[in-house]
Amino acid sequence: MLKKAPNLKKIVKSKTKSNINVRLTSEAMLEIITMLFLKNLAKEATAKSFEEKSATIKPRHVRAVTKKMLKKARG
Amino acid sequence: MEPTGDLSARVLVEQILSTEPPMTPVTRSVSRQQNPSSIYRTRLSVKKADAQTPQNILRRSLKHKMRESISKTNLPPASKGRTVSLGLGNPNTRASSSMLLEGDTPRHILMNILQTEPIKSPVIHEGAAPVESQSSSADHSIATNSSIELSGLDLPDLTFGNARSVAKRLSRKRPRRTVNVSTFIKKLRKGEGENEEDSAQEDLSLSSSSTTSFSLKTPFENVQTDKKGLRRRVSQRRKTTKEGFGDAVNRMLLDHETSSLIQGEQGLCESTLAQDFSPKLSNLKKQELINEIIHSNTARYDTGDVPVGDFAVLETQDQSTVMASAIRSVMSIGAQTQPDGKGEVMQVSECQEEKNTTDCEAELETPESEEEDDKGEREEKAAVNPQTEEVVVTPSVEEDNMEEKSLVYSQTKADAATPTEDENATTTPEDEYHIEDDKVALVDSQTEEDATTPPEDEDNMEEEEMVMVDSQTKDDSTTPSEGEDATSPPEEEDNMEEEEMALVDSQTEEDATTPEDEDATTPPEDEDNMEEEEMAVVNSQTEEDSTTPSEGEDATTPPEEQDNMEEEEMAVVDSQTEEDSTTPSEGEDATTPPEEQDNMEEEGMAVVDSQTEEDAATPSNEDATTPSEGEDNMEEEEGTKLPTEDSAAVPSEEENALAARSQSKGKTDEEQELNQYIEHIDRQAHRFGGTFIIPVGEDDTTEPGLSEQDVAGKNSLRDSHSSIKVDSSDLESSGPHAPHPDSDPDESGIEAQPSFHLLEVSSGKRAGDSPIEAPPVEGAVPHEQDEWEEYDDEEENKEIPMKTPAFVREKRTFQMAYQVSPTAFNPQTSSNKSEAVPSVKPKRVRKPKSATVKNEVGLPKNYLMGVFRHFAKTKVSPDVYPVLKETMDKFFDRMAEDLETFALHAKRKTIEVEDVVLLLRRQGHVNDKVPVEVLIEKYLRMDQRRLLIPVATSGNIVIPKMKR
Repeated sequence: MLKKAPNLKKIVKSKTKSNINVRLTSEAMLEIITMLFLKNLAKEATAKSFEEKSATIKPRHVRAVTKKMLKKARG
Repeated sequence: MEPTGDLSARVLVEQILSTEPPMTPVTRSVSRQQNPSSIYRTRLSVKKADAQTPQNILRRSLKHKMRESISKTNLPPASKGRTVSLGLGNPNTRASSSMLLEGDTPRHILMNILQTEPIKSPVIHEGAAPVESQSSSADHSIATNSSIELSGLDLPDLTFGNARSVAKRLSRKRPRRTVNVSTFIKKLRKGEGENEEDSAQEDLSLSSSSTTSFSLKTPFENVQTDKKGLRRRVSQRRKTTKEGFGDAVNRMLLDHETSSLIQGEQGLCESTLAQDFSPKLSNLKKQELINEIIHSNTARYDTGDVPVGDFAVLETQDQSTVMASAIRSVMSIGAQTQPDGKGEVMQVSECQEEKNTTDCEAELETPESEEEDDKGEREEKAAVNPQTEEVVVTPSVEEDNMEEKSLVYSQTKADAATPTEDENATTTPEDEYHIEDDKVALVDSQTEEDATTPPEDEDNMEEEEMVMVDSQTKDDSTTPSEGEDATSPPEEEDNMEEEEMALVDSQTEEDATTPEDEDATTPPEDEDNMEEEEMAVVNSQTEEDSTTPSEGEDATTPPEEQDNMEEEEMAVVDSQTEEDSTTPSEGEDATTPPEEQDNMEEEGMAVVDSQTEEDAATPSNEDATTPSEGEDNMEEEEGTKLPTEDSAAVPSEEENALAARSQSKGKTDEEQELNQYIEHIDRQAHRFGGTFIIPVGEDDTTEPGLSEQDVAGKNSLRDSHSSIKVDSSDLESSGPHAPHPDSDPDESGIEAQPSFHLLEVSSGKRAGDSPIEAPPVEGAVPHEQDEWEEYDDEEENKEIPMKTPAFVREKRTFQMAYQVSPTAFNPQTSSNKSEAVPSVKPKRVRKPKSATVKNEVGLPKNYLMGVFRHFAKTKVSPDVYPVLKETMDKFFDRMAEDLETFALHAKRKTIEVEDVVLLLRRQGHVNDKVPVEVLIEKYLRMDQRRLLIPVATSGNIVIPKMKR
């Protein structure tokens, strides 16, 4: 199984503008969101790489998919 | 007998000369050099031998017995006959043959050398070759040096010179202990039998004390070896002689080659290295050649034997046997060559016996050496080599010393492996004074004085201690030392090493110290004291102490450390001897070391009074403490060497202080701060007492706080000069230590700095910390003391070459740090020294890391890439990470903003699961078909799932509690 994503709580707290707390349970949920985002990103990147007939995911593939995925990730 | 001996000697010499060239393809120069050198040796031996005529007679009888026994045992006599034949057969062709044969076979060379050396003694009577011998002796020494270095794995040393010698010490030291043990045991065994006959031989031998010592050794050997030993030897000889002979041949070849090729020194090192390997490979061929030569030689020998007379008859008999055996042994060329070498040695020894008592001794020694060889020839050789190496190292500064060392090496080697070596050794002891004088004349006038002193010490040592070993070692040492006292200490070291590993280091140090005239004078006294006490360690310490002040250089520091180590072990006795030694030592240095020793003793004795006095007197206490602390820290960190005892910590500090002092002296000079230097000297003198006192007081006062406070007050009173001095001392102290741990000089400088600051700010705390910390480490280490000592030695050796640069670097760094941030270090000072020192680096490293982490908040690369690869299900280029990182950064920004907005919208300041679920729902991950629980169960681990999904446990208890 994948390792627990570290520092998610810290990342979120550092990103928030106001001083806000993150509950322990919500940190687990944050991990779910992060992993889902990464999963979708990887899936799209893989698809993109296959479109270009490349067996390996290259930075340009990820970069091409990033914008679309970030759009989907809007809350 | 004498006339016959003279005749035989002449004849033999001529024959040998003639034979040598054909025998040895080795370089002409080498063969020539060897011949003269051998002549030279023979002269010396002859001089002594003249007086020893009665001894010669006895020896002859013994030799005859030996010969008979050998002849009975086919192998040894055969070898003798062969060797004799070689020596006799080749008489006329020497010059021409030497030219032709030079450089071909190391074995031949060795054989020739062996033959020539014993034969030389008779020749010397003639007095024809003295001039040549002298000139050749120098060359010889060079050649031997090169060979020694090569054989002893000293190849790099030759090139490096002094520093090399230091390195040699390290490398040699380890083998020494092991080797010494075997040799020591052997010597002890031999010594038992020797005592009886020694008295008789002593009476017979009118020669100098040095010769007597040899004679004593030889008689012992003779008794044991005469009948029983010889037969044993025969069996052993074959085995041992093969290895030993091959080794000797290699050495000889190397020596000759090196001498011829590398008169300079360094350039030869490489060649000698290559040669070392080559001679071994070529041994087989050489052996074959030797066998052939032997056969031919035997024929020649028969012709030549007639004039020889009595010897010739005996030899001819042996030769006949040898011839038969040689033919038989053609199949086993190696074995034959070895016995030949033995036989040669025996023959040579016989000749010598007839003419010179020393020769007899040589024969006796040879059997001993053979026995030893059987047991551990290699070990002995190794031991000898280290000893010689030690000697060489110390004298390495001077080429003359190197030459002397080379001689010593040859002697030691001979003892271990080859009869030729034994002969050399035998000749050396008798000739020691003469040779020493000659060599001294060649090398230095100062060395002569030193040489004179050491023999006395050696005599004392021999009488009191192990006569056999001592005499051998002394002889060896005396011969090489000639002008150096160092040689004697190595011998002692061997014995001591066998007994104690620590002693070796001190001895080596002593050796280093001995080369100095001033030091040399003091060490002999110390040695005498030591002999009486039988505490070689103490002597070494005292010698080292004396040497350290005299040198005032980097070299001095290591010995001091060793001394301290030894002192720790032998605190009481050492202190006494040290005091004695220190008193004779020179002005400031001498005075300081005794004080230190006294302090050490006091510490060991838990004498607080002296400490308190010292505290009162010490302006330099801070300085001493700082360096010692820094050193202590270094040692602790290194896992070094502070001995187990609490006193050990104190001595270590003292050692550090001493090293720092010596270093500071040299360093100050380097700094060109003449004014400061003068002050430093004065203060250093004070420091010696003060430094010792301070650590002692701290140590003694288990309550470091009180004493520390007092010290702190004193420190505050102390002038800025003292602080500067302290800095220099710290730097110096750090300098030597730094090289030891292999740690970077920066570390040492850092350590020194904090320690210094601590000393200034809270000297008491530091002092207390240092002693406290040191003792536990030491306690853990005690079992490994031997190892530690070895390491220390090595470190010391390493340090020596690196000292100057290390000091400069350290000083600079330390000064800079001190000036820049004295206050900054204060917080660190609160923590223990050891802690503060290591903490410095990690803190620096950590801070930037933390800063980077804060600046670059994000998922770690391994996790990010791991997850991405997991979901990508295809190959992911590592180049993706930067893009991923950027993407995730944006994603987190947006996610955090959304979650914050949700939480604030719910009038909460805490992001709840609801908010995240809402976000998931808005992102489309959670919909009617896919509830949150599915995602949780799919992507989260069990521990996280338990927090999110309530589970009913036994007793209808739901965990976690359902909010709704």
